[in-house]
Amino acid sequence: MSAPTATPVSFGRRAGRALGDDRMRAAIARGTGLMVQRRHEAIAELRNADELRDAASVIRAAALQRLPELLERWSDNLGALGGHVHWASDADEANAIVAGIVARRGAKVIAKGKSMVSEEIHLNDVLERAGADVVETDLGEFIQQLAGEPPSHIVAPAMHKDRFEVADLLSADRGAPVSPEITAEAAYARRRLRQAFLDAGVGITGVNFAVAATGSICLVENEGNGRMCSSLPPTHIALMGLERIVADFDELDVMLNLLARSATGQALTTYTNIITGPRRPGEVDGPEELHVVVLDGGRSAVVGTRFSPALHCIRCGACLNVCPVYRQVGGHTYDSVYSGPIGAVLTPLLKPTDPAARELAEASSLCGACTEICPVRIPLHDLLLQLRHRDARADASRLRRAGFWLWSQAWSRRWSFGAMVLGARVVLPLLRRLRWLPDIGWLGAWRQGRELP
Amino acid sequence: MVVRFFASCLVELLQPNVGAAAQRVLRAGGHDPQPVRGATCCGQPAYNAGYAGEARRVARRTLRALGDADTACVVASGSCATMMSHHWPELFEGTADADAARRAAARTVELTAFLTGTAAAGSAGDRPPASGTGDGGSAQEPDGGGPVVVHDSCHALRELGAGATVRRALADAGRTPTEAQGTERCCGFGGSFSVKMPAVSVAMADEKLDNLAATGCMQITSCDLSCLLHLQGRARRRGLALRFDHVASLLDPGT
Amino acid sequence: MSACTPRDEFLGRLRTGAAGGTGPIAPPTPRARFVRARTGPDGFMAAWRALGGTAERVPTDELRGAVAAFAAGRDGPLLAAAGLDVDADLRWPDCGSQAAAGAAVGVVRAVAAAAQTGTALLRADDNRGRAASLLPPACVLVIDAGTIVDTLGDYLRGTGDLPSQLVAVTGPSRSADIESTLVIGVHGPGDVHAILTG
Repeated sequence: MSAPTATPVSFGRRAGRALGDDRMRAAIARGTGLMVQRRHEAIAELRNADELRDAASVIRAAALQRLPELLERWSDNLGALGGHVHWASDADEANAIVAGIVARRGAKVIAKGKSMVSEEIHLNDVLERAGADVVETDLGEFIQQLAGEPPSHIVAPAMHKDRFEVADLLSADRGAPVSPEITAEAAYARRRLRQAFLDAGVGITGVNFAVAATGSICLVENEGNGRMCSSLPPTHIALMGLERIVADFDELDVMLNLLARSATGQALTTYTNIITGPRRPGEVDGPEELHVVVLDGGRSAVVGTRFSPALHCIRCGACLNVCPVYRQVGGHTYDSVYSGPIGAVLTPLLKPTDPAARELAEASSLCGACTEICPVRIPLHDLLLQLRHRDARADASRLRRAGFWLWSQAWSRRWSFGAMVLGARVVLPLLRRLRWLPDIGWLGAWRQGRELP
Repeated sequence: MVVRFFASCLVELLQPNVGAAAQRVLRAGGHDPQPVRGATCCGQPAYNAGYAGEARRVARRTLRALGDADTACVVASGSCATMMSHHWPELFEGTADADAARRAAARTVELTAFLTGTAAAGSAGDRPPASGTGDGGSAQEPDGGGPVVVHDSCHALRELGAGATVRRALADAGRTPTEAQGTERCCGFGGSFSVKMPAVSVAMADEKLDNLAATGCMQITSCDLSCLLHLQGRARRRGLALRFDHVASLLDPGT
Repeated sequence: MSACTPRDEFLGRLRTGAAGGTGPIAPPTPRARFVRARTGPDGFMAAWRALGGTAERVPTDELRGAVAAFAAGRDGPLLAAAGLDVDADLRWPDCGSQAAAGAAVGVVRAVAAAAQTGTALLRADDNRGRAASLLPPACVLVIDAGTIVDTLGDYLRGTGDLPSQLVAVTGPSRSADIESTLVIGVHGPGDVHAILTG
């Protein structure tokens, strides 16, 4: 995990650095391009994709409207089967709950599957400080853990790295060369992580959906590490955001038909785990204890507001893949757990007091590609625009506010606008001819890489 | 048929010949374009930056100039047409101009959508002649009528569905547009984004320009002047010999 | 246990924030319709093979032979879930996890399969367990052809009770985490063979 920088660096500065990283940019362009192509092919296999997307949008909205009722029903059902549900208002509470279970179970090794909520609360730092050996077992997350970096993409955490960078990291971990071939790299990870699954006292995973009617949690994945983490260790802890609930299997079916298609272009992920309580009497294996930690983390303040569609997100990553800004700068430039368009919307909502988070709404040309591809029809670019409207009054740049005020005065009177028209005809040719121009404000920003019109 | 015509502030400020060309195109199609006197801007620059009050102040000027007649308002810019037809009702909600804004939104139509008769407000079937003869008047050097590639502006493509109408209007005028890779990807202009995040904006322009140049076409057109000026500015800085013309200039029977 | 917010307090915040309340809301739940519909045993096998698995259909009394043929020549013991009527070197769970992890092939019975997506359904109850289909690098899934439904959704809607774990297996373990390039067999079995009986 990268330590927070002492002095805040703006998105623009981070983007500048990222734009100089040709290797990363090539990897992102290739990765996102492939994922978009696979997504289009998989969605095209559905005759009624639009109908399903409309339904998914309604299902998500309805779930948010009756959250208390659904969560109550789900936790009652899971509790009756012996599962433990924990309610965490914020990251500190969630971390304390997990750390408490780990300590009580005396776990030294923790096998961890992919969980964006765990990134959100920086769980690994907390557990490692408490002396546990936390092993990320998703291939991409494992690579990122070795690199000491957070994931750069919701679905493909190490998308920004090429096979040679991966080989360097794996070789350092092994203490001997690992060949820069992708199959060899995956085989090394399989061997290396196998013992962690068998030794782990606790397995930690995320949750894709919780099903109210049955008390189940649904966990989708391709590698099998999620199955391992939820099957082999004697204790399984699953982390979920409070919004991640559906009413029943009918609703789950709609979501599953869209999630993998939108994320990786598969009809279904290789493993769709439906976990309903811990190991039962008479069952031969499985964890003795199942704990689900439900995180609020700022979400309840968004429910019921005009921004609540942001909580419809099912973390497919499709909006990252089509975003032309993400394509240029990659995920780390966002400097937040969630990157891309959904990250630019979600981060300022979950961290309302963080000025750095507010800036993310500016990291979009509002092109609308995100809105167009979102399987649950979140109006992402419209939410980005609404965030700008929300935050404009608190704009730290008085100059910018004054600029727009002046502009509005000049542009709302025909005579002054007429003067601008004349002025443009006189001034622009002059400016163009000048060899040296003061590169200040918008003029300078425009001339950074572009000639004047 | 009388239509109101709004060129957009960018056209008026930087390329008034585009406005003149658009009016000639409309006249050649049998319409009688009446420029909206006193209009300035749709308010989009401030609106997209988050300054609704400032946007409203400017847009009100244009809304009132537009009047409340029942005629279509043809706009020579995809993004301005989007602002007026999609965002004005919300912008003026709860103000004295709310009803007028809703009616204006319903009347607003982008130029090529109007010409190809695909927009509800347009009169279906009214198409310009395949080619026209007339006196010149374009300030730019003559357009050779060679191969052209369409740059899809995001507003036009996603909000108005105008990707098809630009191509159809060109085809109707005897020009077969070439297609570029990644045409659905934003060029990086994005209004205030282009100056707030200039490095990212320029990187996006570079990818777009590479894709456009890879077609072998030297001429690029669009229904949005703003995208074209951004791309042109970058192309000139890179020394690319590409030419950028608003679609109205290409359809102009006068050239 | 540690600092956990009481459920009522946690849900109470949502009651004040939530827009709608608790009225009966029934969102639409359309079933997916497919350009190329796959049904029945042939549909399942086609979908399974397209994912990179292998498949065969044998008469029920030839199951032992088919399993033995698949396992023949492999470097390591054959592991079968308890109660499955095949010849096995190891039985899950009696053999323990370390031994199971050393097996070359795991054999399990799927309770059903979904033809459209090529999905086999494994339940953790009835002595089947979880590990036999997970730890060895190769896995044989025995499927009664009569249990094949169209989609995973159809199975879920039709099942009453649920075990502690139900896993829908759709092809071999895979990852595209490096350079978005597909590799088969990361943590779960990469060599998956479906034997349809009946």
